[in-house]
Amino acid sequence: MTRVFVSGVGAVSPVGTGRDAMFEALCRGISGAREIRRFDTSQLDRHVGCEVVDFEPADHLTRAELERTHRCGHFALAAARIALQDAGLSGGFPDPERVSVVIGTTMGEANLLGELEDVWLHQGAAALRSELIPRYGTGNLPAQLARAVGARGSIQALPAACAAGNYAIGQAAREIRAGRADIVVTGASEVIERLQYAGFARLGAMAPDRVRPFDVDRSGILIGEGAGILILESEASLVRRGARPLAEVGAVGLACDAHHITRPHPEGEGSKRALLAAIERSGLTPDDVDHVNAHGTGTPANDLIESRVLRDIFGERKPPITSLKSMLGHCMGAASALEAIACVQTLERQIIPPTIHLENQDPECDVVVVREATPVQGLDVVLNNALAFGGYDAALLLARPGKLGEFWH
Amino acid sequence: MGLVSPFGMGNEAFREGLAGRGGFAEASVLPAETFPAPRTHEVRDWNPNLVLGDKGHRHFDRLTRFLAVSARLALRDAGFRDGDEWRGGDTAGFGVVSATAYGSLDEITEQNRIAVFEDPRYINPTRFPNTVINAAAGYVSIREELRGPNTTIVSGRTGALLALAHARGELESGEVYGALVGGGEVVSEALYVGLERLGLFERFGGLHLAEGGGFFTLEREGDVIERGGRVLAILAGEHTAFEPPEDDAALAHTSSAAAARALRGATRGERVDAVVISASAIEPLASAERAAVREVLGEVPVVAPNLAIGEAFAASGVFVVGAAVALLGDEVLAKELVGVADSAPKRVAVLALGQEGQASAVMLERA
Repeated sequence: MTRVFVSGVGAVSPVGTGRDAMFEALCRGISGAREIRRFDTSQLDRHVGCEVVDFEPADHLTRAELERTHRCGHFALAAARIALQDAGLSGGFPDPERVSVVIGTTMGEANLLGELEDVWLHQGAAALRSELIPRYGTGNLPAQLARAVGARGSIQALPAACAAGNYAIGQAAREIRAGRADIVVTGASEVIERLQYAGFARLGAMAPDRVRPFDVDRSGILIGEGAGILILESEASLVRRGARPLAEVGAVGLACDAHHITRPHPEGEGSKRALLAAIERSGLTPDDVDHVNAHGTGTPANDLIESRVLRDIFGERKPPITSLKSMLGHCMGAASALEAIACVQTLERQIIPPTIHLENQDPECDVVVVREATPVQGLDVVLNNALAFGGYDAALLLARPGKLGEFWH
Repeated sequence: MGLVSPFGMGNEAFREGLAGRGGFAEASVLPAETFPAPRTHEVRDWNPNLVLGDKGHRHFDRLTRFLAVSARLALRDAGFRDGDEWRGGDTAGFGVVSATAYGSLDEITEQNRIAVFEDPRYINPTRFPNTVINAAAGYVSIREELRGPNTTIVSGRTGALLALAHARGELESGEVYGALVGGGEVVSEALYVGLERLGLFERFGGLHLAEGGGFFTLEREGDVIERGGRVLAILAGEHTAFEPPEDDAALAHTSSAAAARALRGATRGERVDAVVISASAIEPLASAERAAVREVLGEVPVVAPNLAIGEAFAASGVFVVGAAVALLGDEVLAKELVGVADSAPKRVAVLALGQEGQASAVMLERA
């Protein structure tokens, strides 16, 4: 079976942009939470989110690319450029027809739609700038990414809500294992926009100031934004190029709760299946897992159910877990892509980044949560867990190169 | 197969429409005061209660209802549902792969208006989830209690073909033993205004914005036979390609080169009896698709159902797959559409071209 590796990563995040900036900030426990600047929140009772700041699209995109894309695309293209440089592929691909793009998102360029609707309703349809209209469609996102990086294989967007990153990475690995591609540019991108922000406020799912995963006083999420792009590559392609792998991609376990459109299954039934599928299809057992990057949204229901699921899977052997959403906020579709990058770097550097704002752990959450950046020897296998609207459950297994045996996915 | 189209609800209505014996519904989705004579082809005789009953779907938006009805029709057609009774195996091994280009755009714009122009505190928490693109497919799994992977794909007109490839991968890897594969699109005011502002109705006189949805059940051939089902078509090949425009500033791009690569990859030099293409009245699409067919397959009968149906984006991809399946199984229809003299076509290629430079093709064979 074709083995699949991560050969490059790039992040645009609320705590930093670059190959390493995000992970280093996470290890320092830096939070991206701040007052929302991009739109007015005065009519709401929530005003804080994790916006990307200090990001200048023109530093990464050409003038034509800037005009063909909007903020979600800006993030994705910038992160892709960083990832390609990391992979040693900035100069182009050996065979562009064997390079695909699979990108996750929740809402794509939703902020552009909001802007267009403003104009439409206030000034009439005739005032709509026609050149902006094609930029909205979510299908434009992978197309622009493919144009920017020079890919000519399959392109697709996977809107899998808050599990979109893991979904995209899983599909990217499938493309390579099925022999359809040698290299896939994958990951996810998301922007904070006002409808989504107001909707989560109306659902009562947002914390007022900070995210406190697994804390007895946790009160919800903060919405974040950003893009995480990973370059996935077949072993043969890596060998041909003489490139170094950062991590091996194991299986992605996918399941659907088929229970409720927004609430997780009360027993975490689907999540458990997804996590076990990721482990077992990678040819491993729960005992082989060294660390879990938890979904860890900081909502009362998620953290309780996720803790129970992890307890059911791992029993008394409690692998250390962390929730990066305590610092990044919940970057929606981009969340599990950014967190997958952090998992890759956790394997690379053998350091688990912390969960911040955890002061009084909920005794019902019977898990070992890492509170300070923690060096760990022999950290070989990590799980990246994600859940999403639609009852989606998606778990991604990543391993240090050479640590996975031959497995059936 | 379960289809909901401007020809009506169900496969028979679709077949009759393909044969030119249908008609179209009077437009009713867009506000008449703003659009007195809209060029839309909406789902005819639309009554979801006939399939879903009258309970449990009040909070569904139009796209979700299209998908929910299509799913139930397809599951019944395949024998997975007998009335409401599930006749398949463990639902943890049955997935959903659904394509859409714009999702529930009507719901997104409606909720956006409330958030921006009324008061965000008036957003209805039960409707807000519908603004998430994958929600419609998620509701299908919830309603049908399907616990396998649920995936939504966005790739314009090519999405449904990519969905077939995606589900095939899940079948081959053993993640599922069956899946509903298809997608849908709805007529919405925002999409209509967008096409109008792009000048498409003015440029292409026969263009109608269309809608609908559909699902196919995908399984391994042996499993279908073992459970006493019937094979409508065999997915014998698939390929997707992307070609960027030469003009750095261009956004819309229809690429006959991508279409040719996709067709070549899906058909692999094998004989093809007919090709179903995705083009609506948007002429550059038709030209690019026909050019690719000529280049790869030479003179072969071409069927273009969306010329009549209209432009339904991801649903257009569903309709071309549906038309190919109908052609494979129906000698009479085949004679009407492609003039094959002796029998229904045995091998039909399906080609769908996106508006951003992508193209997908699948090869379907008669069982």
